[in-house]
Amino acid sequence: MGLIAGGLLSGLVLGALSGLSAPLPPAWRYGAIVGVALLGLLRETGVVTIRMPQNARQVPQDVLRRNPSRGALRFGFELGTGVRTYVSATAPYVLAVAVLLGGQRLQVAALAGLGFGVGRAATPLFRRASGAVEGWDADLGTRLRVITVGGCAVLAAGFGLLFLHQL
Amino acid sequence: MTGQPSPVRRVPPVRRWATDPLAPGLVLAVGAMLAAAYGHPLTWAVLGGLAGYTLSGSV
Repeated sequence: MGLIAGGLLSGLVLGALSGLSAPLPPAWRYGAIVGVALLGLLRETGVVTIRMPQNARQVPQDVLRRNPSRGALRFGFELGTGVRTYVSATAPYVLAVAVLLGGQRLQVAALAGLGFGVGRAATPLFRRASGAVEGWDADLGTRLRVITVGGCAVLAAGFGLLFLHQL
Repeated sequence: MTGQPSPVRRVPPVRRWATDPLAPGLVLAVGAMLAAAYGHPLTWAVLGGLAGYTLSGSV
């Protein structure tokens, strides 16, 4: 729940700020989103090196020790916002720029934030559901690059298709 | 200390396949492409989910 609430908050904040890009024509905005997504894909594949801002810290473990249930909620919330800990992939940056430039209704930005939180929550859910967390962690290690590069590629293609619907 | 290795838990192949770390990414990718092809607003939610899932490697 904390992860989803954190993602929702980030989506709403970015959605509220997206009004700043509203004066630009939709074709420009979506063109810029697709451009940023392609740049993100190049960064993820290592073709270009771009330093991105991130909060280079882990959520403190003592958050969980003080009060396990409330601590888990806070831990998840901080992870869900995407701004309180490491960001080890490029796709979240692409999503943030897309929400900022998309100029869509606030509900749509909220959907993106909710989805982000659910996506973050999928990791511990699938890990637990696997029944063998050590094996799952090892599998994740070997598949992580496919997930991060593939994720960026799908974001670029997805925003490209949305761009076509704006024309 | 006996030095015996801890037993490896056997997981049914179907469960292992269904919970593979690639599985959520694949489902979200297919869902995003389908939603985007129709220009549906849910595309944003699915792409958001995919972006969130790419952070699986960090806590």
